Amino acid sequence: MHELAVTENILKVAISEAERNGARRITKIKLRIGAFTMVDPECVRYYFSLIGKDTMAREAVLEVKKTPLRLRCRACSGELEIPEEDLPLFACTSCGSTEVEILSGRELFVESIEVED
Amino acid sequence: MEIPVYRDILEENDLKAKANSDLFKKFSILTINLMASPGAGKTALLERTIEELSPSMRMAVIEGDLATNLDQERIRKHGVPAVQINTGSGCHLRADMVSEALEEIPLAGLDMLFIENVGNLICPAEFRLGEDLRVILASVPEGEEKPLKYPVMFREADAVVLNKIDLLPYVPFNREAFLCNLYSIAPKVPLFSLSCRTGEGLPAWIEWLKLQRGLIRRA
Repeated sequence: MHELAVTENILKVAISEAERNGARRITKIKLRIGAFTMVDPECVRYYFSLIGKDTMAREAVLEVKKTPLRLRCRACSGELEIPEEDLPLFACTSCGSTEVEILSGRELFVESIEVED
Repeated sequence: MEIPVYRDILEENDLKAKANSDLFKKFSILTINLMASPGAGKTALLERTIEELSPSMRMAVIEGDLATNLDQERIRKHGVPAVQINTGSGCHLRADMVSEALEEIPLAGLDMLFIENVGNLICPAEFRLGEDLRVILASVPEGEEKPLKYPVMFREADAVVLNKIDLLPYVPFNREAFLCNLYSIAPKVPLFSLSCRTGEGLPAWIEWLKLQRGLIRRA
């Protein structure tokens, strides 16, 4: 459900950037969504098809790049990537320390847009 | 033509959350974003907390629900200002809803503000409200797997409260498994096991809140 709010913000950001650049049509919106976020890209696509249709982004393709959840161990400096189908375990698989920090996976970005005049 | 953007999708909410946070800092108010599934006992925890901390602490509550003023009325019975936000179909509170609610709360002299989020362990995760601390409430009848099923929420919790421990003799709940699940996601998070019904375990939670309030005052 919260993806509706997320999608509204994606549209706002994309349209404001397009207008600032004097563009009239947005043809593509490139998103970066981390694996450790509560945002489902399929759900965003669905809402986009509903709320984007009366805007300059009506024909825009949503391109979603996913960033995996990556952790770094503060104890041994080891890095590990958690496959998306796995349960996230916040411990170092090499040394067992729980002093791990999130390197990536929390991103929610509009990276770029493609526009036409 | 490709235009680089690199803007956070939630920047608008984050900006408003920052403004709320600045306001809380200005008045030295400890603000807690309380999140849980529906029925875990969020309002009961607030009622108990208010009973324990009144009148030495001055508190206020913002209540988030899809509909009704029921929770606001429950809190007001305890003599504490409460503002109800009805989100309609919205599944989480946003920072701008909180800033609007703040207009109805006298902030001067306030020690603590509790924001009871909409009962939901998914949607509120990405929406900062300007809070100092995020507290997640779980309850015994919900079972021991909640931290694994909602890892983003539990990973970013500053404290976890396990409510309804008075039901432990009556419902299947593996406490060791709950701890194991919780600490695999958030190894260092403070955990308060308590019962809002019997009051068991409440003192540790209350002491922790007072300590957090003290830290805010000093900052």
